[in-house]
Amino acid sequence: MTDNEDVSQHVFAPVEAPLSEKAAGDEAPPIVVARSVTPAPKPPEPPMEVVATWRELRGPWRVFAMSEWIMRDRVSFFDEIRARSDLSHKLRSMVVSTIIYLALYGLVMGISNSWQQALMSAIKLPVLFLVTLLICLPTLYFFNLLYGSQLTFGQTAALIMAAVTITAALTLAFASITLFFWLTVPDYEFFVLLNVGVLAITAWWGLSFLRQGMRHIQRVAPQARRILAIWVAIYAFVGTQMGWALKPFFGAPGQPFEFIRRTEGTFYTSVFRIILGLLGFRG
Amino acid sequence: MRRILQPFAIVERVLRDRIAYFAEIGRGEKLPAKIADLLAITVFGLAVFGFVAGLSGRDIAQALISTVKLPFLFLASGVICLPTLYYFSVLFGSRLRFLQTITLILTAQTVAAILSLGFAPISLLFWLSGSEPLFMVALDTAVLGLAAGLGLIFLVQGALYIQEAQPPDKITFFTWAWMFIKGTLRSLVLAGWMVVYGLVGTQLSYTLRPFFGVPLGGRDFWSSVGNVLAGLLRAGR
Repeated sequence: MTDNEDVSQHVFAPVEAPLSEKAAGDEAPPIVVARSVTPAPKPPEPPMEVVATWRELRGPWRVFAMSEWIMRDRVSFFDEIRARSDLSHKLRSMVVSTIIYLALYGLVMGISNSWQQALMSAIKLPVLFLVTLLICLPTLYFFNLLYGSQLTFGQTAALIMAAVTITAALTLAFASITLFFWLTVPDYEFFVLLNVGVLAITAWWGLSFLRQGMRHIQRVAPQARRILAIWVAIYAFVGTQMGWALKPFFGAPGQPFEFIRRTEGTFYTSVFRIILGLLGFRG
Repeated sequence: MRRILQPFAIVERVLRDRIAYFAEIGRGEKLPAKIADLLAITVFGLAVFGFVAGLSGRDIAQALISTVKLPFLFLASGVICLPTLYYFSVLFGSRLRFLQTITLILTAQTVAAILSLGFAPISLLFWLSGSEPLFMVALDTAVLGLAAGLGLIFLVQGALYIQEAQPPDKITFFTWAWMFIKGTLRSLVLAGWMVVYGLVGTQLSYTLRPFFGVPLGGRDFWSSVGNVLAGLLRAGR
């Protein structure tokens, strides 16, 4: 140790000396440095105030305030959910805006059949999303607990509801395009495919948003991923059956208007039967 | 006279110094006034070009109808695609606001309108010198497509520039490319949106046909274009 100290003194002492001499000898450089420094630390322009936009929304545009906030400033949104601040108010406004977005898209979806079908789809589409959520929520919450999550029931509901709201808002963004294609290319198969494609894309981004939220709130990535996979599986399982029970959403152009088509069985048994039929077995 | 020419000031700014113009949009300066000017130019430029294009079939009534239809074609496809661009940009962390998005889309359309307005005399010359109708159709369609494509470049550049927290003062082609790559998903969304916009635009142009007063046949936009080219080849033989 002492050897080292000695060496360092010997080595560094002569190096420091000329430096200090230079600094002492020249008086001009410090001033030059000071001059060049003063204009440099110009404060960077503050980032554009984005939060103001959704707060400014007035009148009927107020409906979009919630989804704007969630999308633009998601970090503060997730932080508030983690802090459990004002959860019930958030949940309420998310539910209201989801209903409005999906109802508007449902109108477009059902237009291929008749105006009655359009109205019916406007009611059914929000019901499909929200009732599925309601049915799944207890299971989702308990799975969450099982994996040692600290989230409360309200937080879980708010997080999933936010993903549904995002999905609904993005779906609504496609409404004009879907309507346009129905008006110009009145081809029923294409229309159904277009709608399914839109819902698939928007649901995908809703899910990726949910993953971000889980990561932000949960902090444990692998655990969050496992919970998310289970959630998606349950939600899809129930949602498919729900959609099956509520059909028709489109109604082919020639068909008479129906409120809810009377069908037996589930989506899965009917798919199974179709596969059996294709293979040559008659169920 | 000055009042009438006033909207053209914005064209000058867009084409000469687009960086300053984008910065103004980024700061949100006088957006409603800008939108009004851009709208006026888009309608005017496309109306003039629509009139000239409608003359191809030697039918004045068709020319008058096209005067109305061509601006409507552009504005309607902009309106149809606006919500998707806005919501998907916001979802991927863009700071674009609604009015800014409208301004950018209208900028793209104004550039397209100005370019086709500039081409109108050329097209008129070809018409007066007795070009066959199918050639006029091909020429005008190509000009419109090219103009719309160049306009979209302005939209992409504007969106990228506004997105930058500290945009560079001098911008070269490589800076644009770098900004585009840096945007990753956001840039992909922009590119995907342009595809949708193109699809909607072509489909709408087929729905609103005829523009030229020349029977084209064809079951959609692309087969009509194919028919025109095939007709030209046949005539040239």
